[in-house]
Amino acid sequence: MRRVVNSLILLAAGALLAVSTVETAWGQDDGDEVKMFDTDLGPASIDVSGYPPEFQSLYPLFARKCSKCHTLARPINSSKLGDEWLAYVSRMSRKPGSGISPRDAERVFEFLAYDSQARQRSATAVDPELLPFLEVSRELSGARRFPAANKNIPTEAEELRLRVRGDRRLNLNTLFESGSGQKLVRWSQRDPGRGELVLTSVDTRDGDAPDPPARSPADSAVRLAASEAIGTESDTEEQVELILDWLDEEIERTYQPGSATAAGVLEIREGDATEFTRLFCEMARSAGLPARSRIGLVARRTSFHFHAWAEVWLDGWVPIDPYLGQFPADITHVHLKAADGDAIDEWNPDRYPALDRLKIEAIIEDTSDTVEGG
Amino acid sequence: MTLKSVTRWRTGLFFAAAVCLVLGATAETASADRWDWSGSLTLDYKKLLKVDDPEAFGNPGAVVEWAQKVTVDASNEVTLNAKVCSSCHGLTIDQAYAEIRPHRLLNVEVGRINVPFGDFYLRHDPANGTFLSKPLPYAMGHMVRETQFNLSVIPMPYVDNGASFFGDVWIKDTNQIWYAVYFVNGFRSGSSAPKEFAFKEQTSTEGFNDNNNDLATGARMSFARGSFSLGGSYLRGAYDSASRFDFHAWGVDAAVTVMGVRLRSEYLQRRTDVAGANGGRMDMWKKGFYAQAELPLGARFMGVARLDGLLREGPAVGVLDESSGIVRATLGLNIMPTVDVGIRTAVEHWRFTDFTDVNVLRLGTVITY
Repeated sequence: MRRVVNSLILLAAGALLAVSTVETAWGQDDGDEVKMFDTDLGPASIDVSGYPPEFQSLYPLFARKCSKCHTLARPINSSKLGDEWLAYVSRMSRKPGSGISPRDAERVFEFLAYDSQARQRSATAVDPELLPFLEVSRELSGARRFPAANKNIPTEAEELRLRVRGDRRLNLNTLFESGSGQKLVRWSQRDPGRGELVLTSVDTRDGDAPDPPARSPADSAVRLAASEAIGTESDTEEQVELILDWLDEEIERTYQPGSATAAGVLEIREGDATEFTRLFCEMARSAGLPARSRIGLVARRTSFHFHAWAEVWLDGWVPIDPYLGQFPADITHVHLKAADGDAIDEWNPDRYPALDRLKIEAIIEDTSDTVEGG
Repeated sequence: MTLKSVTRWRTGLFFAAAVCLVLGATAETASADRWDWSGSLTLDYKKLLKVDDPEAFGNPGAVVEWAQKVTVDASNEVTLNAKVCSSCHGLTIDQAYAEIRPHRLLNVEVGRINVPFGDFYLRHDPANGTFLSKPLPYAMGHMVRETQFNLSVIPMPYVDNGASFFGDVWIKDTNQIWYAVYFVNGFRSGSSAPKEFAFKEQTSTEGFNDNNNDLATGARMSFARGSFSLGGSYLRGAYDSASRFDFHAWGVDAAVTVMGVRLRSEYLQRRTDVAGANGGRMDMWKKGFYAQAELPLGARFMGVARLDGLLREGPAVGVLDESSGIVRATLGLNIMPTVDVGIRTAVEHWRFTDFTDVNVLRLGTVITY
């Protein structure tokens, strides 16, 4: 036994030495590195890009000084506000080896006082543009938002990776579609609630060519609107563009409880993503374009929201977001599994346990600030 | 000053701190944002790999330690702290004091305070350390051959009733000189012919009353620049009820981070008057050191290594002769699945001057909140 333990010790010492060499190459040369963890009390960094320059310049000092003895997430996720930071910073800075000089303490306090108030303001103030996303998401999933990053999630990227963690009873493989433009990886039957989604930018999505829709929808108002929007244009892509333009001009973007029919939307002339999508699909079909609605997640700024959009057959299913006016829809549209018909009609969140507790983490390259939320 | 009045004065001090804590819950400080709650739960399991004499090892294989701390900022200058712990000695009040910060150069901690001796006192809580076991110079009792070597140079955590005056001076925003002078009850002994501190009493309710009228006094000074720090500590006092037997302890410590590896080292020693034959007095020395390295291996792992030792010199006691010592080598790996949960593993090799060597496997978890 003694020989075994001695061998183990030698082996571990060798490993430590080897890793130490690698660490040296990485250039960790002092004790001032910022301790950041992607699982802690909450975000481990702050997006200060919107702060006044004087506070932006204080952020590195705060991050360096306030992570020497504990993680940076601790002060970032504290509920202290404004002047309440004074006693805390004063107490910490006077500890032996704190590394926080009186001048540093003053600047760290200035930053924390500003930051805590700025973030509280942004958390409580709801941007009117964002409100329809929040409410639609709540209707579709029970949660208004799924925080996923501490900076804006890139919509123009060629690839986007999302770590997804759901309730143990939730099977991600039955929730998320896997095909062109979207793949569920790192998923196993043993732990079906966890996985990673790889979203890639593609022109069209998989699917069988549908039969051409009947050219005479039930409601004449929809037919009239489509005709008004498209005119004599015969190019299908142009037709899609024209319908989107018409919707942009004629329908006001605002939250509408529930989901109105296409004819109903034409009457009230306003709606959110579900109304825009329903009306778009009906107008496209009226023009002879196969179209269907889709339910899924979409990123707005730093969070994902449940959302509705459309797909039109243009030698392949092309995702189009009528509410956002995107043709094709951006990479952050995460497709859920759905039948070939209208997902809005078929959507039943009760089929998916604890959907509102889904946790999504956007892995944004070139920085270390990946953040988990849910 | 009589024994009675000193005892009353210091007991009063302790209760004043307790009252401050209660008052802290009212009015101004009732805002939840001014309160910081934190705690930890630690499991430390040790398995002896080679045991010739099982009876000699005695202490339990697994120890569970729970600590709960609350801090409230009563104002920008006054903070109230309380901490309770539950472990080998049952539920104890680890700290209960008020910190008053009138000026950077002079601040006061008063009540039941964490005595600032050495560098390790800042990390005595398992949640703040990187090893499951304490360095031998600071070990209390949860050690191999605890019946022979129980109690080291300065057992930690060492909390005591009293007051500490501390402050810091900065030179050019980068160099901190920190200092503290403190007056506390001091260690105690229940015997009129003491051989060592009765430290367990220190942590019980009896610990709130002194056993003599002699205050223990101490001081610490440290210098820090970036990741480098250098410190020195001194503590003296009497520990028997008649104040005849005194002790002097001092130590030096240094820490630095080199190429990502945190290196720490301390040396400390204590000379203690102990009862000799025929009512005489003798010197007993306890000397200890440790040198340790903490190497982060990415965000989730940390390799740790430590060499520490403890030497006891003095009258032969039981199976220990005039000079008995331990040297221990530890190698471990800490795993941090999340920042709140740590899994710690270690292999320890204990070498005794008077006994056969022992290898120990340690496994533990630390949960912080």
